[in-house]
Amino acid sequence: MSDWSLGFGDMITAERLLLTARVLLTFVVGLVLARLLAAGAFRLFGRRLTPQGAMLLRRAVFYSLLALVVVSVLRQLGFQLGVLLGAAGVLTVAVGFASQTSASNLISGLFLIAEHPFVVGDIVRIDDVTGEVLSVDLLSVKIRTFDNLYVRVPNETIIKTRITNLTHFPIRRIDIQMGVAYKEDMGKVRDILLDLADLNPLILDEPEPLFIFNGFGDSALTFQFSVWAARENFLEARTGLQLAIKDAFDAAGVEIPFPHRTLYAGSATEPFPVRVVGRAEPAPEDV
Amino acid sequence: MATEGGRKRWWGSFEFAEDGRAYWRIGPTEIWVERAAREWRVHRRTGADAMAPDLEVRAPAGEDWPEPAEDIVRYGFRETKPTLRLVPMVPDRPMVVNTEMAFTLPPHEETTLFVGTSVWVRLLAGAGPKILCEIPLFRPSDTWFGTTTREGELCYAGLTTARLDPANVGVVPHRAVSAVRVRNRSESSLSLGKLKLPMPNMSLFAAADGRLWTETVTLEHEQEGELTVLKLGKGPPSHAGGATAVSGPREVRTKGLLIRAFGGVLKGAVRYE
Repeated sequence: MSDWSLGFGDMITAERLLLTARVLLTFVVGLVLARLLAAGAFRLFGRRLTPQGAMLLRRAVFYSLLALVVVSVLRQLGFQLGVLLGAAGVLTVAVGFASQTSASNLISGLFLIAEHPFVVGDIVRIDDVTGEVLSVDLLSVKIRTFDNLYVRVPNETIIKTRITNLTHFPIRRIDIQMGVAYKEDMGKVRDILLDLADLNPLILDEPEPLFIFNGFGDSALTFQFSVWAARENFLEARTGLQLAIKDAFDAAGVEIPFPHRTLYAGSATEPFPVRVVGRAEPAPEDV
Repeated sequence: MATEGGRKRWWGSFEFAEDGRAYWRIGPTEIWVERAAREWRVHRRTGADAMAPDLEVRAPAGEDWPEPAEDIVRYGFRETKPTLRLVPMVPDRPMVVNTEMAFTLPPHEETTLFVGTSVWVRLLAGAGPKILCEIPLFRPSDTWFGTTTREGELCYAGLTTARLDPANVGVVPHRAVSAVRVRNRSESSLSLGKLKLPMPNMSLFAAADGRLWTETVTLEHEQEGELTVLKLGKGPPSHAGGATAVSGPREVRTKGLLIRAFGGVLKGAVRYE
């Protein structure tokens, strides 16, 4: 009796061991295969796609194969898929309530991928975060800021908020707001600025630089000087032009004023007592 | 002109002794090259005068080597070979040429304009030979050529006097001359204020007088607002008088290109604040 039970027990253990080994083997081989095939698809078609498209392809291949592997493993373990899916339906309601945020991000992610207001590699401004898009995933967008921080922005936020894509168009306009003193000749100022734009090779000849007189400010004649540059030269062109403007204005004696304040004590008050400090030349009678 | 027996060419192969050095002044750009056992050193400096006519070649240079610019790049090799090649190259983007004075072509008329554009120089050394660097002899200003700020092409901008006689085009060492034949087949006058030349598709040829030429460009304008048929001639133009090829195109051309060649094109919301 004891021999029989021992033999049955051994058989069950051996069968279980075999099953466990088979399941593990299926899972590991499946996982490796999925990774290899995803990498293969990426290598084969990646060059023809945008970086974002290539990344999506890689993930789609990997997760589809992973799903097949998981289904196969579950079948081997004796689960009936129909029952599982039914249970999953009930579970989904419960999980749905618990994971509203994730679900919202997921749906937003799908909209984002369909709308693609930006792609991987673009420079975007989302709220107060500006940086390069590293990846567009189902739940969030990953951004690397210019001070090298890793920022994860949930897709739901992106759908709701205003996004500025800084690299969508190949050329950008540089707007410089400034003012000069009231005594200055605006024609001369305009000529100096247009010459500077002409001399800088990074500033586009066409569209032409634009000089807009904005008005009579508190302490300056204000204007806007707008020039165009290729998007990759934007910062270099803007810095170069502003430094050149400062140098050219200094050389031509054009004054860039700061706010002037005149103090007036009113007619009913005594004038301000003013005392000159510092060493003055001694009067002849003091000698 | 140049030092080597009145040599008018700044390109070609130059031999360097071990620790040898050479100096070129080509228009506004100065280039200093030094050879060491395992590296080439290249210094460069470019002036502001786009039309500087200077040409000076000191290869090899002795004690009279001018003080080099501080801008230096070193190129490492297992072992340097004595030969350095300088090859003139066409610009890497199309060139939009503005005519100094308004130029209009009446209906069913034809003209040939001669326009000059800056060229680049490519330095090659070693087995292969390998490209050390490419230097624009004068970096033209960037410009946009398109109907809107969304669609168009980033080009270089050039200014031309658009001479009608090649003899009147000044010999400047760092510029290549292109003969542009324009045929106006439309019923309206054609303004040639702005012309786009497909420089990366063109080749360079050297004439006996040391002047660089590109192939002849033919632009056929059929109708207002339509794309223009562009044809590139084969080989050097007849005006160049038996010129020889010095470098090929950067991009292989496709036959009978249709391009937007005439300017005054920007429309729409460019001028609004």
